Amino acid sequence: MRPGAALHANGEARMEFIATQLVNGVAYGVLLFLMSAGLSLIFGLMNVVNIAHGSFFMLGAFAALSIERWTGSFWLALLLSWIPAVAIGIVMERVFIRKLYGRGHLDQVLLTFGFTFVFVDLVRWIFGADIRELALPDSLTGVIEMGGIIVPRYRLFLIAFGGVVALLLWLFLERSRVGAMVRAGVDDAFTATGIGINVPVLFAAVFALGVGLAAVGGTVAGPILGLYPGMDIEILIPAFIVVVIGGMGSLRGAFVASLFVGLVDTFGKAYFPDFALFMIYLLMVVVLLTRPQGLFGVNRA
Amino acid sequence: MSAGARRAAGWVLLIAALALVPLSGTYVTGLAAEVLVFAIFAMSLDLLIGYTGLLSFGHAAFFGVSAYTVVILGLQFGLSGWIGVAAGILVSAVVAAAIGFFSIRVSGIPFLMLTMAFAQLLMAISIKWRSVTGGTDGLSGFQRPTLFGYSLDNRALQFYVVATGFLLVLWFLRRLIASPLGSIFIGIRENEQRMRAAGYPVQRFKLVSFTLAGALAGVGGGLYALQNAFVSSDILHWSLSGDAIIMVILGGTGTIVGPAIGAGMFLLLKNVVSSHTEYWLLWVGIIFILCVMFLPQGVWGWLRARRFGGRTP
Amino acid sequence: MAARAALRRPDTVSGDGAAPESAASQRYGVREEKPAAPASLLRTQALHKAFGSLVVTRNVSLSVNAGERHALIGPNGAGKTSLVHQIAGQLAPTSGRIFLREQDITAAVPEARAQLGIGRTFQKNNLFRGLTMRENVRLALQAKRRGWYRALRATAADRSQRAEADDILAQVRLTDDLDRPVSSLSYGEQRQLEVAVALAGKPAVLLLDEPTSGMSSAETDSMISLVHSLPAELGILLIEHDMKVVFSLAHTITVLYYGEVLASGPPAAIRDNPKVRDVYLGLGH
Repeated sequence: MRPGAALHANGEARMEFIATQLVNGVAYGVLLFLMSAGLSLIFGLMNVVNIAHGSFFMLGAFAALSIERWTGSFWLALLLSWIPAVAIGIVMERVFIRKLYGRGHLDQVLLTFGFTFVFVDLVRWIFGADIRELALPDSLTGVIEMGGIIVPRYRLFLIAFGGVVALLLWLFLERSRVGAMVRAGVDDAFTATGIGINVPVLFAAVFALGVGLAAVGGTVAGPILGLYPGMDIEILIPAFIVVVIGGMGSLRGAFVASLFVGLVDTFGKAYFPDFALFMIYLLMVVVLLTRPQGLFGVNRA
Repeated sequence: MSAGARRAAGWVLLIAALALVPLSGTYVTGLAAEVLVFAIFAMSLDLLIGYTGLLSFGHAAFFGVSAYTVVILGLQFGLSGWIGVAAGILVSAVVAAAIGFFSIRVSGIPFLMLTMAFAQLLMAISIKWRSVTGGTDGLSGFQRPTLFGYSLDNRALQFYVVATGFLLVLWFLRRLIASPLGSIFIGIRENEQRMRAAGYPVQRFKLVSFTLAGALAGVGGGLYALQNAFVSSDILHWSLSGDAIIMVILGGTGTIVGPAIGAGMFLLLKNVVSSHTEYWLLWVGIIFILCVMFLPQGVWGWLRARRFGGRTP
Repeated sequence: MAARAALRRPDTVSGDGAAPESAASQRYGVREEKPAAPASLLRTQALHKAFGSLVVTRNVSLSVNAGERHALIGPNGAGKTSLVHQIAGQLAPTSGRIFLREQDITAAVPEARAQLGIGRTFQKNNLFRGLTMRENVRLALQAKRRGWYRALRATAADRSQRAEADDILAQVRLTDDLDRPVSSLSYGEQRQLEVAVALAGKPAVLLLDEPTSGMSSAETDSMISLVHSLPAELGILLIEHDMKVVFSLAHTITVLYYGEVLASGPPAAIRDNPKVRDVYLGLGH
């Protein structure tokens, strides 16, 4: 349905249109969550701002592309694409970021900003600048009819996948010992060291987890967004908007804000195509001016 | 040689070097003019980053708004480029004050994102408002003004005008940093909480710094318009803001001359590397990373520390 | 102790303390009434601060008069620094009020309170680390003067500010090579500089947060004599753990325990107070 037509269509068509946007919005929200959860964890625990987070999204997607090309299987790609990204992430953390822990946000922002240039040109060099496609297996293509509404199977898969990941993440943080250590570290890294938590290893692990989530996000985003060297920035800015709106360091905030931003962006594009790109900027401006610390933000010293 | 004499000698050398540039042909002159325009842009950004401690990702907004003002006033109202530049500086100052007023309510990453958001919103307006701004195609056909009867279409004259602007901005920044107002900006960068505890209305000064920086970026934008006689919405893209940040860091944040040197390095790198490979971003990234890791004070900061053992701007 | 006898107390009749006879009373031979006790310089009223269920300040009312040296003591975690943060404005109380010269400043931001006459040092050195000693003090001085917006005039040309900064540094016994950056100073020197920066603002009330923390015995003695030499009309609220410092300086002592005022009064009364003894059992003295 043409965007403008939404406002004039009859009831049933409008319902269907809204339902479609709803599904798309939540699906986009899932992608944003996979990105912003990692960003928030890394910031919350390590007080590190990772501007290169979008690069890992991109690296995951292209790794999946390669794996699928070699093995012919989407599922294998999904299963394994996080590995190269996490490997690069661990090297980046140990060799570069670790040296900057004392130096404050500015230097980390700058360092990771520099890495975005390196990663994007590497991808361009290896894969070229054209938009690539990540093929879907038959089980995920096509549509399903649900309650009279036609929904693409893959979007449903994405939503379910996102829900599962969110649940696993929550279980990990709330119920496992390592998760408790992460939460303790988020609260107070200094004291955490004092009670015997191996903070450097924990940092490396959380950074790996964060960029791993981003890489998985890139993989599942592939079939919808397409793969191209600029996809890192395309997802990074909305992801940062989510983190800022949700509150830096808050996982709950990331979850709520991802859905919120995903829906606003999708419905915004549907009803105001002229201002599509900038609805979420506007949203962030409004949130920051009324509640500077974000929805669930904590005021860090 | 006393410090005063050394400084005077520095100015003389600089002016002499700039005066001789047009002798090296139109390509070098054009490149040098581009470097100087971006040097002004980078130096204005350093007032925020290096001296007040505010990392803004939307500085291109003020550069672009000024350039648009010059071109639009010229095309729509037939106003001379000189009037355009003056108006451009004023407009960029006003826009900076407006954006700054809202942005300084937050700090850190939210500030970074907010300044970027405002700049992106401006870019959206410039893309959509095709009738006035020409959208992504931009506005061409701007007539450069004349100076003492000579048209600014002459590359050498263009360069001298830009160089004069650069020298004026350099002089102004030097005086500013050494002044009470400058010391307040530096104090805010060093320890904002202590400044408050001492009685300074910090928010007000952040706004002053933001506005001044925007106005100076407007000087650069106006000169850009005079030089290129063309403007499009690309000038408002956040990647231009990112480029400026790279220039500031490469050259040396917290120094006055550093960003100018950084602008030279960046543009030189871009021109040289891109003629050999299309992957020049990779090299910029690598050099930038090395700079942040091992030369955080920038090239000029490092040179200055070695040769003068400390503080000279 | 002998030292205490030399300290001036606000309600004692002494040559400096009484108001001079007005011209009217001199002309008409009218004996003026002794002026009532001056309104307090700084006063908190039922100050209360809670972080959720954690109460760090519970119904604290205390006052500091001009010229009074008021010590605030208590075990770690008693909420002393939180109290100072609330008085100086870095922390907003949950309820209660703060008065400076009987003017309600509870809602005022830190910079406004500083302009009204509150000066403070910080428990952890909070200086301009990248700047020189002299510039640290000069910045604090400049805050109380006009000329902030002079954008083209060099500060270096202002000799009077530089001389004044040097004077203040001399007051805190810092005289050598004042162009050294703060980062090159010893810890003790930085503590002294903290006091200098606070003094440079010419406060009416000075809040000193553990000025001798981390200092050697000699440095502590030096700080004690420094505080002794501070202007007499200054009201000082002094947080301290070192009892030697407290008993050699204080006119009044307030003991804080779990955020609440346990006892308040002249040093002798505090020393003999059994509740205070209980709290400090095992902490020496």
